[in-house]
Amino acid sequence: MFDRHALRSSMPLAPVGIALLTVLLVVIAEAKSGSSWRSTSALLVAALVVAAGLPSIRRSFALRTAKQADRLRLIASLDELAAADLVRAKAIAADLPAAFAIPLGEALAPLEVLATRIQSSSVEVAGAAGAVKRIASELAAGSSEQSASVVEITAAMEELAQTATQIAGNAEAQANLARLGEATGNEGAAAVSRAVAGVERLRERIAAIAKRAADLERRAEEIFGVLALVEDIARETHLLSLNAAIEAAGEAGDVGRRFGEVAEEVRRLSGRSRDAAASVRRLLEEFSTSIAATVEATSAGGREAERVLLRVTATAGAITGLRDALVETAAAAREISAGTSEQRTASLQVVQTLREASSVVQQIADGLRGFSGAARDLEEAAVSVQLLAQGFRLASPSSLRHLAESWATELRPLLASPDALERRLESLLEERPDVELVFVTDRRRQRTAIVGQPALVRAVPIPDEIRFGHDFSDRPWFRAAAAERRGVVTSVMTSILTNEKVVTAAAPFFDGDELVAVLGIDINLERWTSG
Amino acid sequence: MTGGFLIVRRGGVLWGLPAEHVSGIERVERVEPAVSGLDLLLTGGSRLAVESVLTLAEDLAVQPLSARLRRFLPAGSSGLAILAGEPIVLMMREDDASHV
Amino acid sequence: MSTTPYLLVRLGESLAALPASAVRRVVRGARLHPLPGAGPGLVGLAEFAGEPLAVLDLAQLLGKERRGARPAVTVVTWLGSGSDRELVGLGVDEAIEVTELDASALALGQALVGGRPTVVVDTERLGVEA
Repeated sequence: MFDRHALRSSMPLAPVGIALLTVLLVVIAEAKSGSSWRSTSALLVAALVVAAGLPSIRRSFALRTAKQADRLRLIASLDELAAADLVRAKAIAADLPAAFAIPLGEALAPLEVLATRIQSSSVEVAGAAGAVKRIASELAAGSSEQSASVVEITAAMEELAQTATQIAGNAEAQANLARLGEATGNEGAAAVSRAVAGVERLRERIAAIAKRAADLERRAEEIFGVLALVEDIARETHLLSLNAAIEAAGEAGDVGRRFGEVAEEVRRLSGRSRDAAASVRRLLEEFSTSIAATVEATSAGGREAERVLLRVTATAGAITGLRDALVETAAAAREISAGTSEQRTASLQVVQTLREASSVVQQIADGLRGFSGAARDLEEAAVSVQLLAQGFRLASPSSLRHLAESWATELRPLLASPDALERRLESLLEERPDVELVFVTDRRRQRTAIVGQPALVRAVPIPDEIRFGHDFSDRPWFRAAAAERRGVVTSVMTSILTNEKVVTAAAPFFDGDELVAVLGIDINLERWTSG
Repeated sequence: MTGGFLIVRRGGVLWGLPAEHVSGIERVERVEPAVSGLDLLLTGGSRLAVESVLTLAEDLAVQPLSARLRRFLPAGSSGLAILAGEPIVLMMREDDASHV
Repeated sequence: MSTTPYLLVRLGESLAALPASAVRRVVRGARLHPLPGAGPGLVGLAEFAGEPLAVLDLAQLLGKERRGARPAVTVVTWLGSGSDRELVGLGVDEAIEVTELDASALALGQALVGGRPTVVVDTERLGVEA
């Protein structure tokens, strides 16, 4: 599904940095006042040679006459890139003259493709990890039951062995012995049949686990692949920001200062990506070690179950023989003494075998519990990568930042009419069953429109005092949207409606510099991933 | 030979020397290392063992070595150039080859 | 108090600062051709902007112990001054950030950056016999 090597060869990272850098170099060269045509052209020629292969750059001789407004627009586009908002960066770049817009567009296009793939594949992987976790729990629960029933059978057979020993030598109990022998012999045979069937079922379940474990290992590999790409982007972005800062350092005045600031922002973005990728990598490495150990344990468990199955099947034959011996020896005293010795030996052998079976089943149950733990770890790692990928804003259905920004754009004209606003919120909610709650808190009008999924609010109704005069300005989604002045995604929290994990996507409504309202969307993590 | 630089491979690296310093080329079988190669016969009288001769480069842009860089490059180097993206060490002076 | 921008780089465990005005470009993954027979200070020869570029080991030049691995990053730098100026690659382990240092840092040859002692490199004199 996600071949790291194929992706690398189809999307070279170096020209991304080179193209952006070329644009920066050329613009700074142009911003140098009083520079001679010779030094500017030397810079341009250097940039041309470096970016060989991008034919549009050759048109850059026209940049000598670039307008101040266009340079400022270029800076704004790079600002948006530093905030990882590829939608706005592209939109601003489109308004630039072709000589700027084309190289910038060529630089942004592969970034966008990569970020989109990361976003959508991380959602898939997290969904798969969730499914595996559920199956692992079911398997663990099933085999605990298995273990319990084997323990029961073992106890019954031990009683039988004791009874046979007690009766030995008591001639008066011959008739009783015969009757007892028949009853316990039948029960014993039935018990062994149940044990055989149980071990068979267990063997099938172990085979299922081994297959799931192999799936998990593959998924972990895919996530490692995604991580390596994220780390590559962080490295390339960091290098780009350094070279921009170096160029800006040689530039006195406003343009140089602005470039220096943008370069610093981009460098911090790369640092955040690198740190997040490093912590996900640590989680994954722990997971990989534990899954390898569990795979080993379940294979060993499978082999053990096979051996026990053979022994238990042989025991079924021994029990039938035991029952027959008990019935036949009721007539003669000497035969009774001889018979009870045989009974005792045969019973003990059966008990021994069942004890071994019980112990193996117990080990398997323990292994499955470890597997559940590993599956939970994987799901956590997959969710971390999924949220890391949400840092980009892209015009894609997987981008939650984009969801918040596009709903905000739609709802803005309706802020003045509360009824129309609520109706629109209801219809947006119908389109997205993974959204638990959507709300718009209007600071000017001191009221909040809030709509939840009908099934959820029937169980947990929304209190009225939230809608009027309630101050949300201390909530993390509110503060983040107000501070960033753009769509944001919060970290994972627990929903008050469902008690499950949610993330909140939020977007601010600004009137000039005044924050007038904030849109919040609570997305149920499980439904978003599996939906 | 006159004009341009003769480009050769020696020890895995590309070297260049002015064609007018080369009076001839001989194929030789060497005992140590046990590999056949080529000897350049130089006008100064010495021989330079090389693995292969690549080309005669007419328009090489030569960068003479500064005093600074001369301390770091091997003895016998006096300049640098580029051919098809690969760096070349130049022995520009007639006695350079005897130091290599 | 006037300050000047410097590029902060890492050499093994220690830090060095190069004047940003002397730095041309930071490059990662440049193709380096090692030269057998060259001194330990030369990492190899590369190509930059169509010209040959000698890449020197900055740690070696500053008299520091060199560990096994080859420097991963090349800082393309102007060394020397005036008519003597030439473009040389300096091999470092990592380029960290551009930071402002006090104007006196160059004369002192040393500075504290984030509390860590940092060698301030005089690119006009680097690589020349003392």
